[in-house]
Amino acid sequence: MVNTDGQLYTIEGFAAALIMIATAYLVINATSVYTAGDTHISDMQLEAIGTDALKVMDTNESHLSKSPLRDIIEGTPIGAENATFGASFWYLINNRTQSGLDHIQYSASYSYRNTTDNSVNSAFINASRNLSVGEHAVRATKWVVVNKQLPGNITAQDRAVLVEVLMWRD
Amino acid sequence: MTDENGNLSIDFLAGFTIFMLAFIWVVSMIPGLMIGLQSYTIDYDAVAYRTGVILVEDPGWPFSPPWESFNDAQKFNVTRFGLALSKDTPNILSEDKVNRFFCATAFIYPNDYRSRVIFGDYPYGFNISLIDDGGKIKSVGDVLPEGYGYIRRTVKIKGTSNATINQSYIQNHSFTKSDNATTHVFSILIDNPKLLGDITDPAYQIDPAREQITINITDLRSTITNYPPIINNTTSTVTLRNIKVFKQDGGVYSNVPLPATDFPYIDGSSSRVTAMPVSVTDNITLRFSPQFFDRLKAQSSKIYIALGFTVSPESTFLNNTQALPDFNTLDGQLTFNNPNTTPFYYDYNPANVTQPHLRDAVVEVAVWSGAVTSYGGGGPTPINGTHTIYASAGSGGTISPIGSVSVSDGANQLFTITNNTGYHNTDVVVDGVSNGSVTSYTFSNVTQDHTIVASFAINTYVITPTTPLVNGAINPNTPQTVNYGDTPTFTFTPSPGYHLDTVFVNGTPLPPTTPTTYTFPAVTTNKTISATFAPVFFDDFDAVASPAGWTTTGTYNRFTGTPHFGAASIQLRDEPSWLERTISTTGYSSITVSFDMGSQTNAAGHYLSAQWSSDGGVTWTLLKQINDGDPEDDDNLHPFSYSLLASADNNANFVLRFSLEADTPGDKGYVDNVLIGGNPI
Repeated sequence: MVNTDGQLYTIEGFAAALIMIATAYLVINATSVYTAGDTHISDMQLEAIGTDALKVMDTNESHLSKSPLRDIIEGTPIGAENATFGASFWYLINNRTQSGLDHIQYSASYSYRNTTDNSVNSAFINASRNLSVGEHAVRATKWVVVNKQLPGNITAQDRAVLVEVLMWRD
Repeated sequence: MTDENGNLSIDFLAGFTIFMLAFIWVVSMIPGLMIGLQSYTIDYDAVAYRTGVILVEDPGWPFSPPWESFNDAQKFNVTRFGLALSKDTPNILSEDKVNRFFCATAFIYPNDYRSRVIFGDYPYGFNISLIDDGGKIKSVGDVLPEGYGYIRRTVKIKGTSNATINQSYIQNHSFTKSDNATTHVFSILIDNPKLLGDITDPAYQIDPAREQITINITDLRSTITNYPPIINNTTSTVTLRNIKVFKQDGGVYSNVPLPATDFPYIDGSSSRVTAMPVSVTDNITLRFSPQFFDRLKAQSSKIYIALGFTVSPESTFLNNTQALPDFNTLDGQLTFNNPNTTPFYYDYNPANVTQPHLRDAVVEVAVWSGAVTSYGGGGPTPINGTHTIYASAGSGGTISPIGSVSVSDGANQLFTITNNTGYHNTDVVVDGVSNGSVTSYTFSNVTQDHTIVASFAINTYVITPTTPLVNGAINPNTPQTVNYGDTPTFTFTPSPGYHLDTVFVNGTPLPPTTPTTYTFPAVTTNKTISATFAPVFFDDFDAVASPAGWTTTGTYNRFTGTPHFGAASIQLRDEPSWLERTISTTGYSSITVSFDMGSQTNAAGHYLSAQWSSDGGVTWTLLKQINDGDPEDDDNLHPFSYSLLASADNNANFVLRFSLEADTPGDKGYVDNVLIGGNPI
């Protein structure tokens, strides 16, 4: 004789399985976020290259010399362009070992505090070309200590300026 | 007979099985939670990034002694590659570490690298390459596939220090000051407390325990000086008997054996000598491994390296140390020849030691999945028949063609550099190397990618003011450097009574831009600038015909006695006399008048006066009257100056008059240096 008692566990197993699967399905679908991950990696790579290049340019070649970046900022009147920066920075960010040069463009400036009116002013350094509409740029920055008479200072003195470079790919 | 008992067991098993299957399925979905957030590309990029960070920002392990000083037999003690000098100097790599890392005979791709720098259980393929600013490429890894994760790091490589002790250095430091002898000792001092204390930044520090140091001793045979009887130094023999290392701690010397792995290189050989004594022809290279110094634990010790030589026949030779009683048994204090003789200092003096120098380099890491297809260095060789030359120009000019230029393999490509008007070409940098201000550059037989960057600078010119000027000044008064197209302004300050008359640019007279300034049009050449200043009227009565041009009455004469300024003054005397002149001030305003005047009258009511008239002499305005007995009535000249009323401006009927009121012989009045000034309207 057959009755319903013998199918009780089977039904419970089915029920539990369905509940687990449904729960997992809902949870997974509710928490998964699909991102444009490759775009972030590309930005990270550009930032790393720019940060490295600024760091390298702000490194003395020996204990007897000053860093090239400091020399450039100190030696360039505010508002004047410096092609030396362009030649050095462009090569640093585009040089590769074997697969030809990269095609990274840049625009560099630095910011300083005007101690007279406590404003923050910006001075252009150099750009490989202008950033066009639709191009995606990332930023790399570095604080650089320079001995320079900035607007608001009576004499040259050690001041920290923030060098900022926008970089984008052709 | 059947009942439900049997069904119950089967039912339980079925239900439990279904539950477990579902549970396992759900658990297996958990890793899938992450799938949506990753891709193979991201994974490879992340591994490449991690590898790049380890290489560029980590000094590796072991750190002390540094892993790169381990020889091939010790390489299994290296647990992590890292090329940075220290954890405090990211992006500054050690040349020793770089050379060791890319040593294909010491470390075998992929396993030696995978376990020390790539990490992880997954069998990644990879390529790591480095190029320095000299264009020298080092590489380890496989050929790049189609897709791979990638990171590029820009770095500095710290070169090692080295010293060369050559003939001139030896002579300059009297390192041959010795008696004629066969035994000679030359000492080198590595003063660790000074080396580690004077400079603490690892990027510029000389630390023998972290980086190898190299000392080249050259021109040995030339240091042999003959004493009678004359010998031929080319037939003399030089033997390096031994090298002793002494560690000095607090005045106490201890003898440290030099391991065979640090024996010197002789006469340019690429292998170290295996034993000493050894015959030397001309030069010795000492290259000490950091491991050797690290083992000495000598951070607070001075290390003396003493080289013992035997020279035959007897002669003066490289020598700065007394070797008494015997070099081989010397374990006491080193003594130098005399108080003026010192060991060779390996220090931060650039005259002694070529200092560590940082140079630019780029490190690239590429990581991918899949089977390794080939081994060894060489790196990627993407050959598709064309190469790219990337040409760019700074502001102030152009390069043609510009941008990415595709060139067939083996072809030539000409670039023409043209500066804009007012600019000049300062440099053309090809693959990071300066070529000067050339106007064209040709890449011949192109077999790889290149870069060419043209730089320009604006032309500058010098404007030189003539100084000093007569009767005025110019500001600025020093040569000024200005850019092409600039329009600099010079300001002129006339002396009192004068105004800017004519500006001369390169000797050519030009009208001033304003009454007191001159602004250059756009400057395109070097210039000079000067100016002349003029009064409205001036008469110093020095001319022999004086007072020509003046209307006179009474008794007067050009007077060369006392008082006068210059050659002469005008004297009025004896009777009512005056000196009068109509001076047009047309074209001028703010009229001023100055003059020197004085008198010697003999009676009350007698006086000398100066007056002016704006209406041709109908009415007069008194400027100054010197009465009998006034302080200025002293037979001398006194200066007077006045600013006149506006009625004197721009007036053709302006009249100036000096008059002596007298009736006695001997009354005298004097006038000199009459100056009328004004500003041009």
